[in-house]
Amino acid sequence: MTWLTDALMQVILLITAALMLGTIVAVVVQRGLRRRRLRREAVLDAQVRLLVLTATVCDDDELPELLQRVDGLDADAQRHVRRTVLGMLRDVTGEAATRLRAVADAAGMVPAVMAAVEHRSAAVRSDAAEALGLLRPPGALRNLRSLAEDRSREVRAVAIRALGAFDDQSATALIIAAHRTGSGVSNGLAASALLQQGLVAGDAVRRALDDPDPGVRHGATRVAGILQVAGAGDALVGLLRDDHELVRLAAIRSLEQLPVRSAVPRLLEMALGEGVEGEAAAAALVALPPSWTADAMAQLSARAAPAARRAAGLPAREALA
Amino acid sequence: MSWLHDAVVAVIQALIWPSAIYFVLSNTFMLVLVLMAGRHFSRYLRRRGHRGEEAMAASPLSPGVSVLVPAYNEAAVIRASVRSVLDLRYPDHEVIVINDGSSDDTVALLRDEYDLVPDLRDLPRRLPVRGAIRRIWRSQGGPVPLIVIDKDNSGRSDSINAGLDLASNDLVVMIDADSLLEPDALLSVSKPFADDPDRVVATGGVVRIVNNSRVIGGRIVEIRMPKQIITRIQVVEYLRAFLLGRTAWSDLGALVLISGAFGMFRRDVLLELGGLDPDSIGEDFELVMRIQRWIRDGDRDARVAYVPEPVSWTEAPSTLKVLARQRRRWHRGLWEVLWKYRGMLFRPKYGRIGSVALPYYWLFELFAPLFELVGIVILLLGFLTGALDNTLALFLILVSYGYGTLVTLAAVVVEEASFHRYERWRDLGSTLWAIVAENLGYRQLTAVWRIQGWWAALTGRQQVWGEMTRTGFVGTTTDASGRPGQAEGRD
Repeated sequence: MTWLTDALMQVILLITAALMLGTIVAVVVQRGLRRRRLRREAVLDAQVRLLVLTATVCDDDELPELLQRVDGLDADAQRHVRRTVLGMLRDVTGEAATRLRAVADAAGMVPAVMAAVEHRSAAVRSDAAEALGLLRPPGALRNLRSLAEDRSREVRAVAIRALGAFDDQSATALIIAAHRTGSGVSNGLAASALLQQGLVAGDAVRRALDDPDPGVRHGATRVAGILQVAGAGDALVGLLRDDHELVRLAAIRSLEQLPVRSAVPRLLEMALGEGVEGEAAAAALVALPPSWTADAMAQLSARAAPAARRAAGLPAREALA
Repeated sequence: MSWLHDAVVAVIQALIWPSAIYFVLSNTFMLVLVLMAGRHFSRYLRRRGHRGEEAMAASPLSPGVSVLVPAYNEAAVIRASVRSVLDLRYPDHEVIVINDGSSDDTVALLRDEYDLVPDLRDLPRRLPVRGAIRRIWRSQGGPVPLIVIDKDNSGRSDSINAGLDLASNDLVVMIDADSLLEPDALLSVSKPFADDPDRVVATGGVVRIVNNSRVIGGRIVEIRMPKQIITRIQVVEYLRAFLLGRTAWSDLGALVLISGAFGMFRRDVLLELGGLDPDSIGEDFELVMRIQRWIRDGDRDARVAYVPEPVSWTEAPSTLKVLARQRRRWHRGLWEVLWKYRGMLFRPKYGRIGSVALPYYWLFELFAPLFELVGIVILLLGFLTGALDNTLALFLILVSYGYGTLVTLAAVVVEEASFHRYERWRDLGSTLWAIVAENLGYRQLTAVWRIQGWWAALTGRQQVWGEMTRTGFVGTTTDASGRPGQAEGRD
């Protein structure tokens, strides 16, 4: 090969060797920097964690002084306080959470989060939405409402989840809207936000059971039983005949938690059918009061497919090998 | 014998450039995958703060998961394994252990440990199962239901089918009884199903090597590089091909392989597809290929995803004998699945699976050992006959081994910038040494074993996989992790 000269080969060799050396140096430098950062964080942790923890359990009259100490920390330490508080807020509620929010405020977190709402990066806006849901500062709901209609699907999803922390009808309306088919927010996430709202969402959930959008009906049906939504029983029975399988399945499972006697004939009909619906309906029948289902269980025992029989806890017809 | 010399020279000169081009393409492709994975990790980790796994862990609406644990002669580890799966952080999961005709007291241990009672409920029989079911046991209480199926020996795939038949949750996950799972493994791997429930039909999680790491109470408390060089090299291989490679394939929408040691699937899809193929050696690969074909044949808007978060830890072969068996088996499985699905190759209907992933697996996975060995033969013959000048020989070595080493180093840079699970400086040194050592015998040996596996498949020889012995984990406690001297059920 005339073009592959010794000189060219030497150049290729040198370049390869340099690249290898470069990657090794890169790995070593990465590791060195990370370890240095971890050491620094450990020092900061020792400095601020006790302060933050004390603030969550101290007497009311001691809190102002502790908050003043947080306010007086340097920028690095305050950043660490914010990280610590956000991590802890996911695990605590009540008075301890309120105290933590005060600490976050003293560490200058609220203005930083509010500013991040407008950031051009979707990841930063998502972080802001998450923090707004945890911190709930004044103005959080307004900002979350805006983020719930963000151009980024990721931001919308985080904002909807965060809205679950607010006992507010406008938040409920946005969460219900996020269930719509094609909203870009997963049904499970939006339904979990409704659950987090609890009874506040009850009326909206009951109305949503009749929504023309199957996504909304699905989400509302999933939570109606767990929330024990008053007056939802008949609607759930009606949804056992919905056009969409997911809605029918959710209705079956909801009726396990919100039993309605008039559901029995339709549940039996479904339990005598095949597939996942049959199994779910059989399991739901078992969960209903036995006095309602004696006949249905007898029919199941005689006519149901093995999978539905198993779901209903019925014994095997034939002995095992 | 000048004609012989001339013939050898002609052959060498005809093969040298195709070989060089092959290695350049192969390494470049892998480099692209590594870089793509690096970009994916960067985005994935950036979003860690708001992914919502905590909310999912607390939500009663999270999809239910049935964990299938096939077990064959796992008496040494079964109690701890099941305990660690029962203790996984997840709002709604059940555990189904399938005893595949063990000759030890696997079932008796489970019965005693978990106070099991006979489960007399009917059997769905939605899937054909070859091994006769002797008895089914179930736990009487506890937050996580446990079912134990005791059946005749019929292999791992058939055992999983038996478990799948009894699974009652929307998602099923298959794991090996000797794997250690991260506490949040189910949360991590089910997250794509929760985020995109209409489209995601299967997910795979990263499997890493646990040899020499400290394990207490069924949990890894200190991650360390293995002691043996061949296991260290496997760590590097897993990193490059499994963690980075599969992440990139997933991004490309062309993931065709999820490790059997940790894969999660929609139960209805598996039932529709008839479960695992009990006759397939590469049953995990075969299943994902069948799913991909099902998606495209049915023009379904569905996908298979990969989760880069480490979820499962497994013990890798630490002896050449065991490693040889594993590689022969893997390559035989690769060949059988590629051949079975050859009809998908280059068919536009199969999108990137048919046009990118399968050609890649044919060319750079199946044929790789052949090219590797041909390259070595060319080099040796070239030197012996004088047909290869030093510059050309050096060039061939450089594009195969030098470039390959560079790609692996790039993979280590990506790992260091993302998950960096091996934190000690000495582990970094071991990693770098393993990258070099991979080229000094290991690659050549594995190429030979892979060819043997392929040959065994082509000649229809029955492959005997044999029993393998694990070395056990370091720092185990006998009551909790209880894994010393355990048998290696699956390579």
